[in-house]
Amino acid sequence: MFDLEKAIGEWKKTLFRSENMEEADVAELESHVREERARLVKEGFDEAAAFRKAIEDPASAEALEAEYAKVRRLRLDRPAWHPARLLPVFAWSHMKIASRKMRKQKAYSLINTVGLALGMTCSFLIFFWVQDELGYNRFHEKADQLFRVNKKYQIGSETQYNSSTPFPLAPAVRENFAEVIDATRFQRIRALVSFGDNEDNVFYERRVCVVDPSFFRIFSFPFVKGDPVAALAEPDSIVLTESTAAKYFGTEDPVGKTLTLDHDKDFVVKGVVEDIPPNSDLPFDLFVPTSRMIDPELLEDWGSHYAMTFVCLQGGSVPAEVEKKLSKLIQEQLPKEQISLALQPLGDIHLYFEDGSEEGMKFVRAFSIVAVFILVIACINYINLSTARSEKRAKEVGLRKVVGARRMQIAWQFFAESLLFTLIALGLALLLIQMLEGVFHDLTGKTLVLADFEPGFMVGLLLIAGFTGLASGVYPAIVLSSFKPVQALRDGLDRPKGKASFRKTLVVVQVSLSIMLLIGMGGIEQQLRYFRAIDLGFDKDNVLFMRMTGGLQKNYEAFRHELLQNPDVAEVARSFQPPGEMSAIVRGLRWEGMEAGESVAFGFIPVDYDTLDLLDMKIVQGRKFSREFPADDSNFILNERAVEVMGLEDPIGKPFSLEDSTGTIVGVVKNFHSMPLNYGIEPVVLLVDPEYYSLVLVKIRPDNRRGAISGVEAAWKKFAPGFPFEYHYLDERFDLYYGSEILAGKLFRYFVLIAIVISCLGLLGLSAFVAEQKTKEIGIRKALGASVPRVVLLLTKQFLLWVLLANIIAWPVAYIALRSWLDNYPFRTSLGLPLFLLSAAAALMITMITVSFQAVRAARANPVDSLRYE
Amino acid sequence: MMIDKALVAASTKPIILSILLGGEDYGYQIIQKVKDISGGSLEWSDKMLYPVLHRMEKEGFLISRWKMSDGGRLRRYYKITEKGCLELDSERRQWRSVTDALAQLWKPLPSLD
Repeated sequence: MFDLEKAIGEWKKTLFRSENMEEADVAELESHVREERARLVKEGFDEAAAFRKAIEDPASAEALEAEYAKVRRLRLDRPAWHPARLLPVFAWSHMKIASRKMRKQKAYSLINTVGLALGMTCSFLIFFWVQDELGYNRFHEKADQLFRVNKKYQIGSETQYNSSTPFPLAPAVRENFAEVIDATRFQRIRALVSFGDNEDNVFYERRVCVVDPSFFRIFSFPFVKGDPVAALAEPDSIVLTESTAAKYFGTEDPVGKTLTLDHDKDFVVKGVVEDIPPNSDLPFDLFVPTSRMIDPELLEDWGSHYAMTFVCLQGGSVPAEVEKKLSKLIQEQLPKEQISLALQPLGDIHLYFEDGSEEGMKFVRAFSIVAVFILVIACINYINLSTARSEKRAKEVGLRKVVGARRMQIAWQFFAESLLFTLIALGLALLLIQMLEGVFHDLTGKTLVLADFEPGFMVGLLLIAGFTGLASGVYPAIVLSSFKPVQALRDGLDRPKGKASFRKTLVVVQVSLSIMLLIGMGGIEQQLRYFRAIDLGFDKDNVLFMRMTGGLQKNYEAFRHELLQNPDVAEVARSFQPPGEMSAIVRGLRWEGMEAGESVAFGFIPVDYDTLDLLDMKIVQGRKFSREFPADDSNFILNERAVEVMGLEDPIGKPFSLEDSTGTIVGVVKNFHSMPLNYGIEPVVLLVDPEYYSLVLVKIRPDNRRGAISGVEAAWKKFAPGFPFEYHYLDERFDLYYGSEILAGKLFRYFVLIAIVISCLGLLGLSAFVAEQKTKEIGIRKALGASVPRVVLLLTKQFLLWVLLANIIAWPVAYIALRSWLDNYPFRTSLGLPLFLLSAAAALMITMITVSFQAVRAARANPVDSLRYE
Repeated sequence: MMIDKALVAASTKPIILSILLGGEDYGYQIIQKVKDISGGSLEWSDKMLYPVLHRMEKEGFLISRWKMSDGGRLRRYYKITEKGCLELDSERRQWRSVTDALAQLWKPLPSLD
């Protein structure tokens, strides 16, 4: 007997095999076949024949299917009123659902968004800072070919590096080295600039740059007016930056105007350059030619090293070979000394010291790590919160699967949710950055303007945002989409142990990252405190210093006398350089018992008779310089280190000579830090030599600073008329040296704070979730008589454990990182246990406070309510 | 007499639209009407008409809905849209100009014998 339904079923199966036929298509064809069969039966065909005739078709099944496929693939032009479909078909629906979920779970969404936004803000700011630091000096067209010539020399038994080179070096190199295209000397001076007859037109310029005419050929400082090649060709030419020109002449054309430097030398403005960009290590306002500013004798002197030398190499030449030639050249000129020269790429001078050790680079590295940490912490928050909530979502996933959603579709749904969070957080982060612009500028001195971001930076931002979205979205998408529908719907959740422990691992990682940051912050602070507390060997407090002018040089004694009349002034003395900033060395030393052929260089510190008293420096043997001993103008004082290097048993009264002057050693001063603390204690020789004085030091009494300063100013006006009164505090100067450490400490504090806030947000969310999950358990326990503290303990116990575990991970890592950072400093604090214990305690306290907040709330709830829950 | 394939394909759209101008109809019925009108000279595969209907729906000339017939049979009914009417209008003008041109040429019917 013919079974129609069975036959139709079979026939439909063949149709379903095609992926281009949809259910509706088959249903329509089925309806057609039934109608046709009915008609044929009416015409008198038997059942089976009617059916066969109804399904047969002159066109082949393949041709039919191909037609269906064509229609399916048919893409029509988008009607004008339809929005463009840039995203996949489901994207909008995913986004819509995601935004509904967000609105429904406000607290959860807030925690997630704020966490991600804070994390991204920090990373953006750090990224901007790092990029800016790395970009220093790289804007010059020939940046790859530009090098600074550094000098390597021996002082005592140590090797030192600096960038001071003799003036004749650049011309010699330019003329004799085939590899060198061009070279320039470079020195920074200060000058009083005046012009016209108006007496108000006097400016004290601190950033005057003495260079060779080749300077503008080597470096890319674009000219607004004038010709870069000819600008400094004449000895009396001067070049200004745009804003300096505007300051002097307003809107008038500055070219051709005459400027007078130090009321002495006249210069004609030959060009105007654009303002020097902030990411240049050569920030200057005026440029004058070396040939006019520097004493001709000095220009020929290989022994005095006051200039920096920059060279531009031929493309393809090997710096190491040029270095060899340079060293050979200087050794020929200074045969008695152990000096060699090295090239440092221009791009490196901002972040590395002359000897190649890390200067700013260590902070760039540290902050990059911090940025990654913070971002990871934020992502972990998201991952933990979204997977912790999986129980809530399990039913949803199950139902979606039951009605036919594929796993990929669900994964995309969750991923879309993460992306939405990331997008909102990105918006929030950009807003935050805009708001923090001012703070960031005050802190770092860098100007961050969102509107001006270059494409490269935008790409970076998008990469960070993309990473955040991916990192936080992928795992939840995989986990949440993996639920088996039957289990999920029946039990509410399939809860394999693995997922919960993965979450625990993440929390531990997060907390340990926070602890590492805490320890790092503590370490930097401790090092800074160490710097501040270190005994420099002289007293830097309440000391003012100012640069001497020509008039003051002549009338110093009268000036000093006038100052000392002021009861608020304790002492006045002259000095070569600010104490603690020794940069001169002297060679050609001889003393009794010196081994023949030995060549030693010492630090060179010209002082005044009163300098040691003023700075409260301690004499360990002999005496200080004194006006009572006329011979003291050719006598010497050494520091303990120098005596040690010389190997003298009893130095007092022994002869000592320095180049061509010979005298007696009258005293030994206690070792002091003659250089910033990133240098060790050097052997130094102190002497009285008026030729070198360039500073006046004034020790004032602390109780009336203002009175003292106005007294000094009055005397200054009298003895240095026409020169602006400008003074510095020695201790502030000191802070300047550790500016990068101080800044790093400050930034670190902010970032650690933010990292901890983000961690706390996550912990808060997680603890709320744990409390919610255990609502019934808490209710039952309380009903059976458990006290609130017991319940709180129940809820917080695991967090306590996690923090302890996190400490175990964090300590060694933090120790190694901090150790290697501190290794950059010759004088460093020791990393004691207290730092670690304190950080651990802080982390524990913060965690417990955060977690108990929820736990206490849950524990105090009425058990009746919680048992009725659900 | 067989009609060329290309001509069949080209005429399908105006024929369907014209049929539906008379009111909502379902696939099988449309096919029957096409057959009746052409008097069997338009020989096409019945089922090939369905992809055509779907294409026209996608292009916005038709809309469809499923309806249960009184006999308990599920049928997909097609209805012409505003856009479909406009399309038919344009088709009609095109066909008319073609037929007019041919009519003029063939007026004094040349001897075909």
